[in-house]
Amino acid sequence: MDSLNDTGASLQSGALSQLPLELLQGIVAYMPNRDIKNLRLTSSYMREVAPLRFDRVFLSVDPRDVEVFVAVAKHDVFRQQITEIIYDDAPFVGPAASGEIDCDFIDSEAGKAWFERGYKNSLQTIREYKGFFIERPIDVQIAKQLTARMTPRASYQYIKDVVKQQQHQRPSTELRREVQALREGLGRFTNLRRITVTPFAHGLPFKPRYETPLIRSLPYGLIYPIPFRKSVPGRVASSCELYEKVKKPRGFRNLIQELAKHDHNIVELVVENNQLRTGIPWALISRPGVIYESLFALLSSPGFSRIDLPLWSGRGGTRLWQPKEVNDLRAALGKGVNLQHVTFSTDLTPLDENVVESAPEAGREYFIPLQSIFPVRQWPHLRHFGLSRFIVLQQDIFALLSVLPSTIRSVELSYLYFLPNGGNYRDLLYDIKQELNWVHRLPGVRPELTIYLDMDPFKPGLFVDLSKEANHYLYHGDVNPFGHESEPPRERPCRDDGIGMQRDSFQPENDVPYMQPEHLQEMGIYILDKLSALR
Amino acid sequence: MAESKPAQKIWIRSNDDKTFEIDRDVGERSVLIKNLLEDVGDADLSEENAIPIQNVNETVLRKVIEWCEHHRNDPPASQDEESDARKKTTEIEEWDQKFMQVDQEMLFEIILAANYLDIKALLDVGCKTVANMIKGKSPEEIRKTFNITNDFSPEEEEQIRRENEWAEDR
Repeated sequence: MDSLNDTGASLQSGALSQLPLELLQGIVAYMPNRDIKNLRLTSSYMREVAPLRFDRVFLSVDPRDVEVFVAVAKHDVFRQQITEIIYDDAPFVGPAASGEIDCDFIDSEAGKAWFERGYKNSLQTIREYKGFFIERPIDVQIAKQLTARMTPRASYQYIKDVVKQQQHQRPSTELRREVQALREGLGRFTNLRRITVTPFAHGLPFKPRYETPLIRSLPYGLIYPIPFRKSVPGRVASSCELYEKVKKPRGFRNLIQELAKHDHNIVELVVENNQLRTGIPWALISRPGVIYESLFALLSSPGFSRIDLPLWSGRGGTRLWQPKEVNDLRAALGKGVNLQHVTFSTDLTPLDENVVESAPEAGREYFIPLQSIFPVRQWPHLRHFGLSRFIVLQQDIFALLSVLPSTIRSVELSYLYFLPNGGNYRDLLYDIKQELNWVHRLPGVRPELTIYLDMDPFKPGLFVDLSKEANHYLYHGDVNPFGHESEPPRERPCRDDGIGMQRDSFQPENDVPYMQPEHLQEMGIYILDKLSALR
Repeated sequence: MAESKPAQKIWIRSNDDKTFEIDRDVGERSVLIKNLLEDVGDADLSEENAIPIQNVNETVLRKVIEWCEHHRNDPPASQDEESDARKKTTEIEEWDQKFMQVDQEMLFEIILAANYLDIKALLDVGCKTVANMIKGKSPEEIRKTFNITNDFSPEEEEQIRRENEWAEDR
């Protein structure tokens, strides 16, 4: 805009509508959708200048999600803004034997008992949120919602309806509806780039991870068993609960098959595991079959640039790979010449007794050289490479790092298990610093390291972040967070060291320095009074 | 930067013919003025030959200069921040909050002047201030605040409400 307004006259009070369009848009850029929704209801002009921000849509088995997905796909403006589909791949799951719950189950006595247990567990989780923290705004919000919570009976009635709507006439009708919607979306979201598959849309009780239409529609104060959460009080499932009970991860399967059948612009596939030992069953994608073929076709499609794939073996990860399967995976990955972002993780258990304890050579039979899986030399555009929960040898991982292309900007090496006499994090960092000369690259193009480690003792969903310390060691002359070369290496940090951040993959507000609680009290983060200690 | 050297002065003139003498680095918070200064040789800088600021009157220009003086030593914004189209925070530092406690007319005049003079940081503060005025308000409260007339039919309003339901709140 090159002039204030044509007359040069000063603006009247209430002249919001008279601001040039680009300035109004600049204001709207600072507003979340919740405010944009109200602004666009004020007048037709404001509706024009304050479009809803639609960069992603959700899809799941739930009819509400499907309905909104289709509505956005049919809308000629909104559909062009969509760059990502988030596939909520987590239906309600009952007790071990019953698997995914259905109408008959939810109506039965067993179904009622299942719900009551889940309600209690969720309630307890909510009550434990605050812990030692000095009250934060989110604690106030949670406490308010807790006071206004729905009774177990009312919550059960509500969830029963949700389940029935999700199960209505499945699989013949509903399943097809979900797939039909996906097809429509693939065709009509012209700027679609990424599909994210997540089992964690519901997050934690009262703390949803995504605002899917279903989750937004749930009433305030509703308490229910979070889909795909194990029935243990307080914490997230300790091992892979994700696809354990549902033999067929429906969303992922649907998606992969549809992508193989139809034209689309998808160049990024992200499967979330949120730092948990969960993922797509390895058996599903390693065995020749529709999924296997389709996934590999996707990987080798032109322009495909990102894959984040957590793999789940259900066996603690120790026997994840068979040589033949690895060859196939490598061949497929090798076709992805445009890959820029590659992250793989497994469900390897920490300190797996099967591997660790015995002879010095223990576990070697499970070791597979990383470059026999990941053909990094064939990825000239690679910007990010991430490994999480892999059995490694220091010299092997170093060999891989040393052949990464110069385009590399970030590397994740989390929860690695070094075989006995196979090196350690401390010496690996030392070698990176001494041998790879990353420090001589310009700031901004140096590879940034991410290192997450399990807590000791292990707590699912909680982890220690040593990334900052590792990067400071590599680039700013700080000490090695895994100990000085003259000392025995630290395998993992402990609270007494006061190194690193403790993070919670579901509650970022809980991030604190990894220290003893007394120190956190001194820092004014915790309050360890008798009352909270009793809780 | 020679600390000992007295600050170089420049002159700018509002559209109602008020001339301000300001330090060059204060004036250069405005990209428009900075560019104009580059075109004008140092020898041509004088009170008589003040740079005309055509779209801004004395009251508003005084206010803008006050802001530029306070922020004369701010580091330039990084490219990353500028390219971040989706702006997450509407936090405003305390001094700027007080500075923006003006009537609505002045607020919009400052935003327009910041845009014309190309002072991005001031423009951002102005936009954030308006965004914060909208924050948490119902449609009716927003109409009242900004004197907006509702021209929707009930059907149109219903349609917008439906679309709103499709979108996340974030």
